[in-house]
Amino acid sequence: MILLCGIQSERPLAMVRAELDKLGAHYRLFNQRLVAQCHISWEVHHGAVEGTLDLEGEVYDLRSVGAAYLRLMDDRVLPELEGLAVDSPARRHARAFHDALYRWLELAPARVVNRTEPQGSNGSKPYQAQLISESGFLVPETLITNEPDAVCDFEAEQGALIYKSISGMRSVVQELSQSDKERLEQIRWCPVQFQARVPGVDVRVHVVGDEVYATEIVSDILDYRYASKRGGSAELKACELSPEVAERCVALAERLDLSFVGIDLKITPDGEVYCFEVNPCPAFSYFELNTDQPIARAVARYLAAA
Amino acid sequence: MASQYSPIWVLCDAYDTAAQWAAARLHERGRSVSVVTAAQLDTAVRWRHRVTRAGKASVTIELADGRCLSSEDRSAVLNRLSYIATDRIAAVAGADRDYATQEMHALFLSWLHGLPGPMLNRPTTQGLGGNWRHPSAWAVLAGRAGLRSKPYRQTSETDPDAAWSPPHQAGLVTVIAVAGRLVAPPLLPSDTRAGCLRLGALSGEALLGIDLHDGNWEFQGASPRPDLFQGGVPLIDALAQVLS
Repeated sequence: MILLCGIQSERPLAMVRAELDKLGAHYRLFNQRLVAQCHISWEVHHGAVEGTLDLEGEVYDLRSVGAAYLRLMDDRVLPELEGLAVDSPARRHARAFHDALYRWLELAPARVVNRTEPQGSNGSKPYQAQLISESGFLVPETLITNEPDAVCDFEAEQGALIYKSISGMRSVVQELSQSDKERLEQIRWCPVQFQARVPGVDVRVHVVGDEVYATEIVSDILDYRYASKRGGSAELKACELSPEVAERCVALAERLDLSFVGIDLKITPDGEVYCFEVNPCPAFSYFELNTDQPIARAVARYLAAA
Repeated sequence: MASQYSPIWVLCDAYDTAAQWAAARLHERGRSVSVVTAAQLDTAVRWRHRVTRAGKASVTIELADGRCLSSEDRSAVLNRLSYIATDRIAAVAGADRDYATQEMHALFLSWLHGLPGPMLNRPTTQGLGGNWRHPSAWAVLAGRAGLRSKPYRQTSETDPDAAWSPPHQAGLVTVIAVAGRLVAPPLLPSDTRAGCLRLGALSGEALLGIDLHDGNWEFQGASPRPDLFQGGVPLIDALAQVLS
């Protein structure tokens, strides 16, 4: 059985579910919004894990779960819990259920897309960059500092710079402008990440197991994710990677112990391949809906093959 | 004459008396040892952390007292950090405070990972001083290592925080696995000794404390940040060797 976890209307989850229906795969959905009607109980004994999952009155042996696809939102902000006190029984149940579910998924002998622990590398971009480089990709020259003078020296050495968050918290990538440089003293209280701006073509690569789907993005905005909000445009089209780069992408996902990832590449005019980041929980629907690349089908096939 | 050994940085929380004790014992053996607390790192005056396009990392941190941590020194590190101090960030309000905290944690994970010298323990995404596993994960690993343990149970009625703070138990013995060696009481049975070594290897931690019930040697828990006092002089011997 395949276990889908999340909000049933959430687009990536809904798209994978639709493809599982087409495959005739056996799956069940844990709909977070119905968490009050769900229960889980499991135990570790002699190193093995067993237990049961009750989804809205239907009870399943956890050993029957061969694969799981996770698109869980933070249970604290579920609409059903809005306005309830932190210690209300409904909130306590939701928290306890999610914790028990997450803990079991970390241990389950199942194909989990993706487990929580390996997703952690995305919480520190420079840390992940060090892991990425071990798979043969270049990474942007990076300086994290709280010294304004060091930023100026780095700019003199590298040319145009961008700055963005160090952590996994989302931030809009910005080019370091003259007005930014005039307020550089503000970095003294908290170090900031600066990177050499890498010229070239943005390519998002979705890896599903050993399948690779590459999408080229042409945008007039530095951070194409915010193109429409910033009055720009982003054009997406399917593209082909060289076999060697595609293999490297698969190897990188394997190295990070992630079976489904979104890898952000930049291919320079000289043909050098930089990797900016590996997203361990990619919201692939934006790319699939713009290119017709069958990413959801690949995820469904991967889950069904467990 | 210059020492043949690398200098040692002991990174720890201010209240980590076991780390301070180990630092003093290592210093007594002629090693150059500097203790740096999380609070001192929080008040560092200069940070420079580079990652080159080939992925090579370097760091220079100038502390308020004038000392300087640099990856160029290739120092050995006894890394006992469990958290980042946030006194400096505490004055920041709301979402910005959370953002700054995440940023500093991400920075710490990266610069610690990039240090080139021997380190006990290396940082992980689950803990700056090693992988701070959930008790359920330790139960699975202990079982795989062949250690006897009580079943671990969790349900949607269990308080998630309770597992992290089990009630104090009397009669525990802490065995410490250090890079494939075991610092343990002589009475420890050979099969339990072998299981502890396997657990150390399975955990990926070069320094691991393993709590066993005194008498039946049942596994009770494990930590990448063990109470170093429990290892005594034999543990200092092992640390001195690994941190060379």
